[in-house]
This record gives sequence, C-alpha cells and structure tokens, in this order.
Amino acid sequence: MTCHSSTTSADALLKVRGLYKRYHAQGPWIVNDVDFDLVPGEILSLVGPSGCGKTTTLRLIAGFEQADAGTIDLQGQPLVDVSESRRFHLPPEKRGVGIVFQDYALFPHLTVLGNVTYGIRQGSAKEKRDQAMKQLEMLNMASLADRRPQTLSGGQQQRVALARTIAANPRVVLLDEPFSNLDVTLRESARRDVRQTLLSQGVAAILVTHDREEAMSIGDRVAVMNQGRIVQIGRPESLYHEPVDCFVASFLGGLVQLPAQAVGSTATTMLGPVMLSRSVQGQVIIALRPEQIILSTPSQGQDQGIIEHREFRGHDQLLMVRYGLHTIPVLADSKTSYHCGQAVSLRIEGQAIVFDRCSQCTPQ
Amino acid sequence: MSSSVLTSPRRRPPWYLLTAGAITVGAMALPVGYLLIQALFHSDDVENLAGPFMRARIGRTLALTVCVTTLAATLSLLLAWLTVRTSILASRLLALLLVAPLAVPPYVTAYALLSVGGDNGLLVRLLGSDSPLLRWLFTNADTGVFHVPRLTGFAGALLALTAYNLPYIYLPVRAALIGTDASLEEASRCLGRSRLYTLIRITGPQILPALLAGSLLVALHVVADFGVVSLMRYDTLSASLYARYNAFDLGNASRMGMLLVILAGVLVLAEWLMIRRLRVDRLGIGVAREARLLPLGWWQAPAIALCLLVFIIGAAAPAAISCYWMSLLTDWSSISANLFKALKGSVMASLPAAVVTTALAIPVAVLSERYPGRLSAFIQRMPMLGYAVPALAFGLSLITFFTAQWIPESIFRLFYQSLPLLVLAYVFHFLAEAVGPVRSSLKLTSPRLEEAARSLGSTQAGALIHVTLPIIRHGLIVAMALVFLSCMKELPLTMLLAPLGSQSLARNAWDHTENAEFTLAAPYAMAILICSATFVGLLLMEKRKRT
Amino acid sequence: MAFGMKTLTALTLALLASFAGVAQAQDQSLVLYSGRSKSLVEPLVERFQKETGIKVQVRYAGTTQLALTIIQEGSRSPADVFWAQDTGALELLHEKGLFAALPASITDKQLPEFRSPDNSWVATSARGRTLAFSSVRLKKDQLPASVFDLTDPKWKGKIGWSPANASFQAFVTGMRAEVGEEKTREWLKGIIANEPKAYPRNGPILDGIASGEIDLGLINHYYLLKTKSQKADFPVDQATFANKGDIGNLLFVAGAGVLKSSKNQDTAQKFVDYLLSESSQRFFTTEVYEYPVLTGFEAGSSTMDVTHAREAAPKVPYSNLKDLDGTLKLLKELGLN
Repeated sequence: MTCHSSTTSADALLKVRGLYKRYHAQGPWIVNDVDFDLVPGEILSLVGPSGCGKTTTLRLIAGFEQADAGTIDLQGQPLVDVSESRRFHLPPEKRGVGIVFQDYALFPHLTVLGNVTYGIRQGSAKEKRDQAMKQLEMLNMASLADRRPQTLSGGQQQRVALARTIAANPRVVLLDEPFSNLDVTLRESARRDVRQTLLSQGVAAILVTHDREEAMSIGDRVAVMNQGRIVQIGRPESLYHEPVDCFVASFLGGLVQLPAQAVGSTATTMLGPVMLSRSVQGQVIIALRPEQIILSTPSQGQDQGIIEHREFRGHDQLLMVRYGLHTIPVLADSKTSYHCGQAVSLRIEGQAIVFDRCSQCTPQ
Repeated sequence: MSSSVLTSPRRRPPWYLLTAGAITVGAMALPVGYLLIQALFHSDDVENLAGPFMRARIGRTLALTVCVTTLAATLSLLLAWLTVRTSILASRLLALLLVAPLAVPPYVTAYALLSVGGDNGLLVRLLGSDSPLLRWLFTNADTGVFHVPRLTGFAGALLALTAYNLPYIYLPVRAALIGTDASLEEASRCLGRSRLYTLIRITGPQILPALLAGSLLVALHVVADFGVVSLMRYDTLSASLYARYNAFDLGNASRMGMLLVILAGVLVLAEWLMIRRLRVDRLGIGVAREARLLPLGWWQAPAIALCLLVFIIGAAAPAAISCYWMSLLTDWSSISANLFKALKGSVMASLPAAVVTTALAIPVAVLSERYPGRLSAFIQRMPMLGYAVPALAFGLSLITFFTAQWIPESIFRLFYQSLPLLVLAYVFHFLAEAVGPVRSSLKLTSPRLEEAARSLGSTQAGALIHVTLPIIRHGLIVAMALVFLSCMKELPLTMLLAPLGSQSLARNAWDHTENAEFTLAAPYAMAILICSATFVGLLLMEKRKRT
Repeated sequence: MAFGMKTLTALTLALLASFAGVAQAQDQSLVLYSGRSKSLVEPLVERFQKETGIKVQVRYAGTTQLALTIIQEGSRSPADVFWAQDTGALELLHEKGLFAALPASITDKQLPEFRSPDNSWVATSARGRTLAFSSVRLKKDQLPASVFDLTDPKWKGKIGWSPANASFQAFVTGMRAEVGEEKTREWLKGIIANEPKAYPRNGPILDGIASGEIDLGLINHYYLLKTKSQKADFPVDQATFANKGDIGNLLFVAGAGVLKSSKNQDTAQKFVDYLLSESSQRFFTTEVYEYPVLTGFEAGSSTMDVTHAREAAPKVPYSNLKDLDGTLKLLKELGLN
C-alpha cells in the first residue's frame, strides 16, 4: 500500500501498474510494486537516493529489462504484461519510447547529423536529413552537424542526444540523469532548455534524477522513490509542503524537527506556538522547513537561543542557533551582521508538518 | 552511478546468437568426440603416459611451453608499451615490423636460426673460419677442436617459437593498450603512485584479458608444434604423438591427443577464473583521452634495437635466407605457372575462411560480452578445444564424418574434398584465433550504444550491424588477418582435405623443403611472406584511413 | 563499411566459384594418393597422362596420413591407387583387406627379393641404407666396417640417426630378422650409450654432418646424391659398410597398390604397371637416384652404382621385413619412440 495520489484517469498516456523487478531469485525487490500514470505533455520527475530503483524503472519502461510482474501500457498499447499466466514484453524498438542516457551514448562512428538521422524511419534520405537538421536547429546545434561526437563538449553532446531522441518521434521520452555529467554552471541553463524543448514539442517525459532541486524545477509532477517503492507522487509544491513522511520531507529539502506538545491543530514548541497540518494530541515531533524559522525581536518570557555557528553563503546566511539541547539551523538575510555568541529569538511561521506515519526519524 | 545497474544476468540471448553458439559447440564436438572415441575404442596396449620416458617428454613440453609463453608475453608487454606509450621513433612502422613474423611459416624460422651457426653457417661465412673472434669463442679448451655450434635444442626451440608467436600476444595487447583510459592512470599518479605501480595495478587489468587470450593461443601453438622442435632436436610430446600415428597406433595417439585437449581445457579454465571478476568496460564515447608519451631520451637506441631484433629473428632472417636461395634459382619458367596456381589456391581458401571465421566469431563474442553467464563463457571457450586437437586427428574426424554411410551420396559428392569443406575445416580449426580480438574490442564498447540504437527503432540485429560492428572494426580486422595468415601457412588439414588438383603455397614450399630443394622452395615461401604482408598491410592501412 | 562489403562480395563469389568446380568428371580419370613427394611424382604422372591420355589427379600427403585416410574413407574413398614411401602402410592396408590383388603380369616384373608374398602391392623403386660421413673430418678408411661397429666408444657424440623415420625402422626390423631380438637390443643400447643425436629426417642429418654437429649419419642413399647434384661442394660423402651383406646396407622399397574400392580397376592397374615400366624405372634412377626394381633392367647411369649396392646389401627376403610392430615395441621400450 503506497501513500500517494495517482491519476487513474482514462486519458493517461502511460500507465504503470504493479511493477516488480528483482535480479536474484531470493534477493530484494529493486522495483517493488510501482504504480503511476503519465499524462500527455507532462514531465514527471522520478527522484530518490542511489539504488532506489528509479533507473531500473526507467529501463523497464524502455524495454531493456524484463519485469517480474506488472503491466505497462502506452496509449492503450501494452508494452509489458507479466503475471502468473502471462509473460509479455514488447521489444524496445517497437515501443516508441525514447531514452537519453546519462553518458549520452552517441554513436562515435557517425557525425552529429548521422546520429540524429538514425532514428528517423520515414521518408527518403533527403527528407530524413532535413528533418534532422530542423531538429538540430531547434536546439541551436545546426552548425555542428558534420562534427563527430568525440569533438563536442559535454553540453553539446547532451543536446545532440536529446535531438536524436526527439527526432525519432517517440511517444514518451525517458531521461536518465541527463545533467549529472555537466558542470554546475551549465546545469541550470541546460535544465531550462530541456524543459523548454520538451514542452514546446509537447512530448511527455519521465526524468530520473537524484537531485531534488532538478526534480522539482523541471517536473510538473514529482515522484519520490525509496527502496523500490514510490513513496509519494504529486505536484512539487504538495510534496514539498505536505510530505507524507519524513523521508520525502528530508529528501526534498532541509528539515528541522522539534518536539512539541500538541492540542488539536496547534502545538507548543520551544520556539513558541505553531499551527499543525492536522489534528493530533500529545507529544509529537513536528517538522519545519528551514525558511519557516524566522529571527524575531525578543519578546517577554520567551527563551532565547545562542548563535553557535555562522556561514555566509552569498545570497543568505546560515546560523546554527542553540536552544537548550537542540541546535536549530536558521536562514538569515545576507545584509545583517551576526556573530557567534549572540543571543537571538526565533519564531515559527506557517504550518508545521506532522507526519501521517510514525516513521523513525532522528531529530536533526 | 546508474550504469552500475547494467544488464540483468538473466536476459535471454536472441535465437540467432544461440544458433551460432550451438554451431560452434557442435563443430568442436566432432573432433573432440572423435578423439575420445578413438581413445576409448582402441584400448589394447594402453601406453603408460606416466612412464619415465613419457614423463621426460611431457616435462620438456611443459618447460618449453611455460618458457616460450612467458618470454613472448613479457616481450610483448614491453614492446607494446614501447610502441604505444613512449616517444619511440616510427612507432607505427615498428608495430608493423613486429607483426611481420606472422607471415613466416615457423619451420622457415627454425631453418634460418639453424643456418646461423654450424661450421658451414652464416657466422663462419661472414667472419671466415680463421676469424680470431670465432676461434676464441668456439675452440674447445680440452680438445683444441674448433667447432661452431648450431643454435639447437631448448635454446633454439625457445628462440624460434618465441619469435614466431610474439605477434599473437603483441597484437591484442597493443590494441588493448591503445584503448586504455589515460585519465585512470592520471588519477592514480595524482594519488601518489609511481608510474610502474600505475602500470601494474591500473593499466594491467585493462590489458589482462588481451594478454591472457594471446598467451593461451601461444601456449597451444607450442604444445602442438612439431616442425620446429623436431628440427631443433628437442623431443616433446608432439614427437611421441607423431610417432604413434606413424605406427598406426590410433589408440595411444588419440589418448595423447586427448591429453593435449585436456591441457587446453585446464588452461582455458585458468584463464576464465582469472578473467571472471574483471570489469573494465569504458563508459563514455569514442576514444579515451590518449596518454602523454613518455620521452625515451638515450633509451631510444636500445628500444629500437630490441624491436629490430625481434623483427630480424622472426621475419627478416627467414625472408633473407629465402631470398638468397631464390637468387640461386635460374630456371623460373618451370616455377611461374605453378607459383601462380599455388597462390590462387592458397588465397581462394584462406580469404573466405578469414571472413567466415570472423563472421562466426562475432556472435560468439557478443554472447560472451553482452549476455555474460556460464553458458556464454562455455561457448566462447569451446573453440580452444578444437584448436588443441592435433591437426591430423581434426582432419580425420572430418573425413570420418563426411564419408559416413548415412550421408547421402549427393551431399557426399558435393562436399567431400571440396573447397567449401576445406574452408569449413579452417573456420572451425582457427575460430579460437578470431574470437580473442573480436571479444577484446567488443569489451571496450559500451552496451549503451546498442540500447540507444534500439530505443531509436533498430532491432537487436540491426543495432549489432549498424552500430556495434562499425565500432569494433579494428578487432574484426585483426581477427581476419590472423586467420588469413594461419590458413596461408596451414599444412596437415590442407593436405588431406584440399580439392584434388589444387595447389597451395604452403604445400609446395614444404614439398621442396623436404627434398632439400631449397632453391625451388624459396619462391613459394617468399610468396607466402609477400602475400601475407600485403594483406595485413592493406587491412591496417584501411584502418588508419578511417580513424 | 565499404571495405567489409567488398570482402564479403569477393567471398561469396569465391565460394560460388568453388562450388562450380566441385562436380568433376569422375570417369576416365584416376585418383592417386601419393605418400611420395610431388617433385618426383608429378613428372611421372604427366608422362603417364601424355602417353595414355588418362587424366590423373594426385593428393600428396604423408604416407601414414594417407593410409589412415583411406582406412577412414572405406568404400567411399576417392582413391584408386595408393603409392607409399615405405611398406609399413602397404602392409597395414593389405591386412585390412583394402587392396585388390594384382595380376601376375605386373607382379612378376619385380625383382624377386622385393616381392611381397601376397602380391597385393608392388615395389616401385628401392633405396638403400648407407653411412654418411663428413668429407672434411673423416677419410673412407677411418669408417667402421660394419654397422655394429658404431657402438665403439670412439664414436661417442658423433653419430646422427633418425629413429622416428620409417626407413630406419625398416632397417631395425631387418636387423632383428638377421641377428635376433637380443643382439638388436644390445646394439641399440650400445648406440644409445654413444649419445647419438636424433634428427627428424635424412636432410637434417646431412645438415648436422655439414655443420660439424656430428661426423657420421645413418641415412638413405639417394638423399645425398640429390643434395650434391644441387651443391657440388657439400662437405659430406657416403659409403656402404665395407662388410658385404652387412645389415647396415639394407635395401628396401617404396610401393604402390590398387584399392579394392576403386571403380577404375583397369586404369588403376595400368598406372601401377606404368610405374614398373622401363621409362619409369629409368626416371627413378636418373632423377631420383633410387635403385630400380624391374627385372632385367640395366641402370646404365654412371651416378648409380646399382650393382655395388646390391652386392653390399644383405639378402633379406621381404617377408622378414614385415614385423614392424615388434620393432616399434622395441624402440618404445628403449625410449626411442
């Protein structure tokens, strides 16, 4: 039983149901009962720590791995149908599923144009070339058409890989950590370019990444995976502000956990009162995003914390404030100066998260 | 790194790969099965292979095999490193020279070495029998007798066999070294490790598969060799094998043959155990960044000298001697017609064999690299067993099969002693030589490329043909070259199975040599050399043009 | 992959062409399996073809290999005639009943001492064992008078022989028939004690003498004659053992037989008969330097001292040379095989 919201609408482009996969007969399930849908034109980010099964899920959809159970349908056509009585896998070349690999896998013996033309099946040789050139132009790569992939930079190779995949007119595009081989400065612009390209061509895509910022910025929806299961799937905002458990919460952003005494939908913490995401009673652990903790003017009767550590990060400052036994990270603006040993008051803004499940989360 | 997820070990290979594998295993089953049946069937008068005399011969076989293989492997490593990673002059030319011994039939090398020494040998002819140097070196202190010895026995066999076999290790190791990733070595150096340590611990594993594959071939060559060791008067197991066949003692001959096959099996098993855990496929596309060449400084001279020494012993000396004999030939008219016929006969069998063998090696290599597992490891190593079966037994097994009564008359008439049958014999006998280079080059390419092709709509076979094959060109070329050369020099199978009335360079050369008609043998030997060198040169030139 | 496509096309064409050549006319042509080398057989075959118009196709290989092949091929053997370098293979095929009996018109042509008692094959030419010696280091009067004298310690390390060679084995068989098993064993042991050097064939033995490795060698007579015809200054000479009838001067034959499975019995017999014709025998004596086996044939050539050879040779009936197995057993026992 997974805790997520999935679209079970009939107009879903890709439907994955009950997908299971493992590599050894008695071994752990790498993909453990995965269900989700992909709507036409949507970009879904599949994110999770290494080894959580996201790449395997991708490869199952692409057809490079065989599932142990489950079904995958694309536009109503079954790609995978494995159960007690059936074992059906459509070969990868018949699925119309494009994939951009982490290392791009450009063909070294063909030029850029040759690579992009490779997947175009319809038309005469000239028509194929023209179509490929058009695709390259859309990505501003036309001038590199006659170059060999070995001579291109990482960013250029990535764009060629994307052009090649899209030129083949796939029904859905899979991207396996496409930005991890790029330098940080390129990543952000590459992210935007890829998103723009996919949206403008109206191609639905699943993007696998272990970077949370990437996942949330590119995806229309985000699915967080852990140990083969989709823990939560939904819009980035819902996942960020309403995580179902501490794993999702801590994966998508910093998390500050505090003990609190709850009475209904409010609770009292060492930093003062706070609204809760749901009604509970008694001792709870609440979770806050670092940006919810605000430095405030000291007020009467309120405890104060001592700044233990200060980090200037350019756009903001990170202060580690000690409250009794707890050290709380606080984001401060970059202009005000603070120093270690200084006493400050904190208060909480916004709702605190109380998790649905009692997952074991050690306070940070 | 998501690529560590890679291929599931339980992927089932497509039918056409499995068929090729089945053909390979089936083809090896014939000669090995034949040997086994003969060994078991003729069970009267079983010779004691552990007796003192046989033990001595087996001991000599092992000693020679170990020494030749070790020497050839060490030299190959050194020479490959010199010609790839240092600033040695004319490295490409030297590489070509070092491959030249492949074109020379081994007994010609043996004759060449033998003719250096002796009271009527090259040394005496060049320096004169009054030469003080020779007199000083070769006068017996006790008896005062002056006698220049010939290079025979263990030393002669070692030298001849090492020079002849060196290219079989040098070629694949050199190719592997070219394909290694310099950034790995640079990382190692940055971690404080010396150049030597890096070479051993980092570069080593990347070239180990190539080294082992080549060494395996060489070991089998030495064990099976009879021509060289008999001339060098170093009696090994092959001498006993030869003697048993001459005595029509099929039982003991087959048992000795089985011993060779078992030995091959042991070596193959050892190689498998060493390779099994190795994971060296490079990620990323195209050619890895090339390492900076190590400047040699005053080591240039000795390095070049070493390369030239190998070239001289393995190729130049035999060629020079053949030229000398050829120069004594006065009547070319009688030779020329036969020479052309023999050339045609040799090429007509060797060329198709080279192509078909490489074609068969491709699925075997793909099975082993893309669908790793016990089955594919077994299939890929089976050709070694066929390789180890003595050529006479190999030929007899084919003869037995194709003349069996249950083969219909029409097929018998069509196939028996026909060119296709000879080509088939070559293909299955020499498959082991082709699998190595193809496998090595396949190992260095990422399976991602085939997956990318499939995601773009190519079938599995299509991806193989349009993406993988062009990338492993070099391995295919090396495989074809090796098989072509082996076929050009092959004797025993050809004698038994070649079509009636056909001639071949190797047979004619051998025929004249046996009759001491060296002037008549020389043109054929030179033709083998020139033809082989041309073929290999063309292929390597083609390779260079494209990269 | 332009180069690859071209090679593949060439291959296909080559294979197609080869298939076309397979269906050959089997009639009116003879297939000869020859254990004798091409350079000596080819001229004879060409002459036969010219004279009779019968086409002959020859497979050249080692005598043993061909014998084993014929046995494996059985009734489907393409061979009509088998021409062996020595008699061991002939005897084996005869034992297996693979030879067709030859008519007396052919077998009677042979000199009586070379005839096989079963007449399943005929001798075609003879060779003799001789002692080769270094013309530089030894003079004729220094040579041992008998092959038995080679066990003298003064020849230690100076003798070369070829125990794997069929001719040598035939010689040992003759010795066993002449002087018995024990004496033969003693002699062999004596030679072994003299540290002989073993060579694979005749040629290397002569090379060994010329290069100074050995001074004496036990070889077949024709080889040196052939070598010296090409290199007159070759520093090796040969002689028969001085003792007349010494087993070291043994004469023995090469021979041919017609296979029972042959569908061309008449043509095959014609060929075998041709080998015993005067012109063939002359060819053997003048070109190959072998001895003739034809009754009443006068060699005439000056390079061949046939009479001398026959006088020096022991009179060993062929039937005594049949027990090759015993020889091989003995050689194996002494570690020579």
